[in-house]
Amino acid sequence: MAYAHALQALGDPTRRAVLEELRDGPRAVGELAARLPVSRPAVSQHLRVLKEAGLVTERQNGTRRLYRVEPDGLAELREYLEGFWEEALANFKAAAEREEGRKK
Amino acid sequence: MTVTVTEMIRKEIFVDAAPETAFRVFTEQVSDWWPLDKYSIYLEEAETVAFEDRDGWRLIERAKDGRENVWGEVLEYEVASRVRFTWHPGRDIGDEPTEVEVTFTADKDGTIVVLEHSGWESLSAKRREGRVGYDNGWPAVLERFKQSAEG
Repeated sequence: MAYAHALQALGDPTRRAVLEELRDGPRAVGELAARLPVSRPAVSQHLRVLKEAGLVTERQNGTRRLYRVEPDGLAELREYLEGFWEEALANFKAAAEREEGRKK
Repeated sequence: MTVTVTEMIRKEIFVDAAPETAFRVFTEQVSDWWPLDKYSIYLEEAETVAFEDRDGWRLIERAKDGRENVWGEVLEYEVASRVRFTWHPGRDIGDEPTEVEVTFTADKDGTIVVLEHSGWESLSAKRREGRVGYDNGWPAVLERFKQSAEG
C-alpha cells in the first residue's frame, strides 16, 4: 500500500519541512537546502524518500530539476481518515448505547 | 487528481439510543469514544478532547501538562439534531480547514447518525495550482497514526 510508504516518509520532521517548503510551488534542491538547516545531499536524500513514497515528483525544467508536491498524496491521506472515522463512530455507537442503557 | 479525492467522506451508523442521548454523547463526552491513543496531537500525553465554550464552541484536545490544540470550531448546532464544525487539527484557525457535519435522525427506537467530512474540493483545487499547503495538519496526525500502527 502506497499510504504505508507515505506514512513512513512523513514520520521524519525534516521531510515534513521539505514538503512545507514545496507548498508554495516547485523548487530545486539548492533552493530547498538554502531554506532548511540541512545540507544539499541530505535534502536530496529526503526528496528521494518522498518521491518513492509518491508524495513528491520531479521534472526537468531547462537545466534545472524541480521538485513538486504530488497531489495524489492527498488521496492517501483521505483514505486513511476514512478508516479513522469508521473506528471513531463505532466507538461512539458503543458509548451512546452504554449511556442509553444507564438511563433505562 | 482522482475523483475520489474531492468527494466527501460519508459515514452512516445506526445507534440504539435516542437522538438526545446520541447527540449528548457525541458533543459532551467526546473523550469516552474518541480514539485518542491513535488520533491526537499529543498522543500518549493526550488527556482529553472535548467541545468547550470559549469565544464560541471549539473542539479542544488537552495534554496532561496543560498544552492545548484546537481542532476545530463549531459553526452551528441544533441540540439532538446536528452539529457542524471546522476541522484543522494541528494547524491554525482558518488555515484551509475542512468541515465535518454530523446529523442525528430518529429511526425506530434508535438514531441514524450520519457524518460527512467535506472541503477536500478546495484543498485539491489549490493543490493543483501548486500553492497550497501540503500538510494542513495531516502529516502531524499521520505520524501519530503511524506510531500507533507500529505499536
